[in-house]
Amino acid sequence: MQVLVSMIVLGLCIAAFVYTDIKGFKERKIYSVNAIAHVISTNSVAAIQFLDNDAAKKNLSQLIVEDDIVNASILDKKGNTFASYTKQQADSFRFAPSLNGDRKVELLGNYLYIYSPIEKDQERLGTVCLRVQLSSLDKIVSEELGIGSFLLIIGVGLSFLISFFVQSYITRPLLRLIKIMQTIKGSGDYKSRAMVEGHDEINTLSMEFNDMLSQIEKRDNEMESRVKERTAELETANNELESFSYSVSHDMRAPLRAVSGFSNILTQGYSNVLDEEGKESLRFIRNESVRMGQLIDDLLAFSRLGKKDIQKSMVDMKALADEALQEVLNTGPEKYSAEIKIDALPAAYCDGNLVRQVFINLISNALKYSSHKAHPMVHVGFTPSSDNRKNNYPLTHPVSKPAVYFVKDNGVGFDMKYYHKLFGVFQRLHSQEEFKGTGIGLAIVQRVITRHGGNVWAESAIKEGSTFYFSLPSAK
Amino acid sequence: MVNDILLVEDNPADAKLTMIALKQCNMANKIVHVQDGVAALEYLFCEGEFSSRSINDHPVIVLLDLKMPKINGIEVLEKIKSDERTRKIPVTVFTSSQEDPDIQKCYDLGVNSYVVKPLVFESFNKVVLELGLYWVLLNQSAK
Repeated sequence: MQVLVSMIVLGLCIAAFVYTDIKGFKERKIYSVNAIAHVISTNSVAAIQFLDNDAAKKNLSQLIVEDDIVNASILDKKGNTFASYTKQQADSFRFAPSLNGDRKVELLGNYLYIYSPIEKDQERLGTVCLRVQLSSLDKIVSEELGIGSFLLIIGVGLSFLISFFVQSYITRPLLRLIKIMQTIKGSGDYKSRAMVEGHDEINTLSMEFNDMLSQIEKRDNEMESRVKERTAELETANNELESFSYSVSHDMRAPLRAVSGFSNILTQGYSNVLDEEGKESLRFIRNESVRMGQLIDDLLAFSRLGKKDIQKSMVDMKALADEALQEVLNTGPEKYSAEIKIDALPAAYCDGNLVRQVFINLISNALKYSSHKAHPMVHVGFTPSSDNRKNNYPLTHPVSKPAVYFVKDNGVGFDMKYYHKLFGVFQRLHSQEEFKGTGIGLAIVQRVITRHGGNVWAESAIKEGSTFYFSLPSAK
Repeated sequence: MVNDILLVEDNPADAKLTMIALKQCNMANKIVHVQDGVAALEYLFCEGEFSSRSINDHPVIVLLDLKMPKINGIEVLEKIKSDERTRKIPVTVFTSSQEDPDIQKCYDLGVNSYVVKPLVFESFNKVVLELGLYWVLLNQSAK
């Protein structure tokens, strides 16, 4: 592209130069021939006055010095040829001037015509006519054009040379650098390096670029090793937690069993030596050790929830709720006489085993806390609206139209004043005499639902009953 | 001759409760209680304080706890079941551990029975009773 532009510029310069030269040449020619014509005309005054043809002819013959003058004539005032001159080996020529002309210059074809009047005392005596060839001009022009072409060719060559130089020392290294950048960007492999080439600034650029890549690579490796470290730490922590749970399970049970066992032996075998106070003490020992066993089991179940991987799939929630109800009725300590209704429920994307436990806990609670009512009622259902919380307790996860299931009972309810304790581990809002339980059920429910990315909340009025809601996010 | 019941249990409370329960079976068998794996092996291979015993005098059942100091139950089991002289002795592992690796390992070694100690005393008592009656009265051991 640049080559073309410089060629055009050079061409224009040469053209301008040649044009100027031609113009200059012509002007000079005209000037000098005019001068000659003037001299001739002045010298021919006498000849023409005295009608001396020979003298006139002799005058004209001096024109031989000016090579370009091919024909010349002296015309009398009537326009007739008085004398003429023809350059050697040229053809003769007849001039036909106008009679009332001033010094004139004419350019016709490839010839210059000069007409110079011969005058004496304001009287026109005749005209000197000169016919000048411009062939030398041609020679000069073609010479100049030749030089010009030669210059153009040199120019093209030089242009290419410089362009090549720039390319190989600047452009191509830069393009290679760019290509490497694009490759690295695409592959993310920071191990590759640019070729260090070129001189000065390009060289520096390549080296700095490579340095930067080394830094990125180093940082990458550091990150990776840090991640590995952190993962190892987490795995260790997890394993420690697991062995802690196991220890809780194993080592805490034996003493408990012993307490139970020996207090039983006392009760069985030594009641006769115990008074009422003694017997009651034994009863407390027995009951508390039973409770402790339950607490250990519950705590273990709760802690195991944190570790287990959730395996989600589309689950038939109605079937799950039915199963949960069956299990509660089969394994429950008491017979429940409640009216239990489980609506058709939409399927949810969740871990069936874990959510079954949620239903078990909620249904078991509902039955337990309504068991004192005359007509206990438990209702498991679904609300289509995305958020019908009457309170504004903060949600653990942002709501985005998830499914909302509920378990409602008409039981004893709880005081909303203690809502913040509801889902706490081992937190109870009723005494053991009123209702048995360790207070782990709702903590487990909350943990399971939260791990699914859902929300759980409740509403209640004392003596009227409670409703527990939970939502599960839809499958992504 | 009535063979012993060998109870291998490091926890004195558990041992006492087990023996009380076994006594309820009203069996004639003597209950020998050792507190760790080393003593158990000494009894079975007639070494140390049991060097007066005869190695062919097999206990009718070995109730073996797993988690014990010095040598643990698994090692004891291995020694019993890998020795020609003792491998036919019936061994019941009686432990708190429900862990699958433990269960697998014991059966790999050829244990005759694996029973988890119940948490609640009533169940514990009942289970020991049943174990005693089963192994002493029902099970036929190799003589």
